[in-house]
Amino acid sequence: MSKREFEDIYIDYLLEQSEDARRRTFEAHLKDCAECKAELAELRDALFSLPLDLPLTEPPAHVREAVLRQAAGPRLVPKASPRQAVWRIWAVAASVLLAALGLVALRQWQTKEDTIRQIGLLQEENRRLRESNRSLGDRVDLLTRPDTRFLRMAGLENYRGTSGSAFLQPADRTAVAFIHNLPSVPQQQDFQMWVIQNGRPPFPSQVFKPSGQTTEISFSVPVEVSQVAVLAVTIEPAGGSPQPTGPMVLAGRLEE
Amino acid sequence: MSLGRSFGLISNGFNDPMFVKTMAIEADLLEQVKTGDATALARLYDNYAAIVYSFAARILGDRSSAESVVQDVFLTVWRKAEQFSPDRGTLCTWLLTLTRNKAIDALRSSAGTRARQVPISSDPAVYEVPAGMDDPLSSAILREKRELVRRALASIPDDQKIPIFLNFYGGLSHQEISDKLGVPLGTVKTRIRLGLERLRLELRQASQ
Repeated sequence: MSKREFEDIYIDYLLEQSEDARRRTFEAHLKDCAECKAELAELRDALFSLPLDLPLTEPPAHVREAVLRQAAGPRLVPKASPRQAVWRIWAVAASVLLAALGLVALRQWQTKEDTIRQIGLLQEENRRLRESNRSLGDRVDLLTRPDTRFLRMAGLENYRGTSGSAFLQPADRTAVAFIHNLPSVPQQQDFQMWVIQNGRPPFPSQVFKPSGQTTEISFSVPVEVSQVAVLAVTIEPAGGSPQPTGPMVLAGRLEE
Repeated sequence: MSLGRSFGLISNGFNDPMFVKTMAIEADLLEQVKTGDATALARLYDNYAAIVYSFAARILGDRSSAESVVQDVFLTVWRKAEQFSPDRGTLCTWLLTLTRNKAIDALRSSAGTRARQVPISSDPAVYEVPAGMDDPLSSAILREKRELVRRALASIPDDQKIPIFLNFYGGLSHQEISDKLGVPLGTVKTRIRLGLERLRLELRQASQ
């Protein structure tokens, strides 16, 4: 680059006539070039010496008083120049716009999140209802099939208020029982269902805890339903037992 | 030792003891301002208020607006003294840079609402001190500097000074100056470049 081209760059920069890209390039160069920085400083000093040749007049005394009075107060940020003010207006406008866009995005994101969450809940509810429907359908099927066997269960001795009924399906050896008014038991105890054949030890079945006034339990029948004589419920240690150890709460005989 | 170097007119004389001393005094004043010393601010004001005010009034053509610029400039110094960088020029240059920026901003912001009260003159005499006028500068340093500038400007042809003045005092772009003077854009650039180089050389020679 020739000396003249350099001078043009200096002078354009000094007089604020540089295009943005050229100005940025020159400023980047200035950071690393002490020689150019000194050259520019000398040129700037020369240019800004011009006002010394103006007819000079002192400002009115009230200006000095105003400056010193304001300086005596808290150091506030100086009033923005019009150029700064315009940029600040744009900056504020941009901030407001960004905030608005952010809110919209946040809202959309929240809406999306809410929708996803609601879809999840609905899917879970749908799954639960499907299971419930299937279970209900199974029970309806169980209860309405002509080969389903039915028995009533009655509370024994100290558990007279307890009662129940059971439905056994021979085809798939499944059963469902509805037991009413089970007494409460300590935490370390559970109720356990027993399937009893005539002359055979009881088969251990479902272990359960009371659930409200009517406790519904589903369980498998370990033998042919036709061979089942009695269903009984006892109180056992938590987790159940291989053989009955506690008091029998209720029992019922399968009718022929 | 020349007066120019003694009074720190240009930043080339860093080896001159008087220049260094002057710079040190200015730096010391600014350091006091940074610490919240209002007395230091008052001293700065007394040294530079006349040139700041006259410069702003020349740009704005309005003394009331110039008063606002003076307040704005000195309060900016008070609040942002740490922004002064000696490697970008002298304290005087910084003050006048602030003055020009604020005045040009005010000029542009008011351009759409009112007519400029003093037209931008192409007459160099408008920008010079009339003979026999009292010198309000309280600072001996500035009075000496003023004499140097006056002599340097006298050596620059009018056709180079005018486009410089139109940009410097009027905020006109090179193209606007070209239109105003009716000369090609390239000629405007050349004249400005030659004029500023001449000014710098004259001041440099005066300081040696």
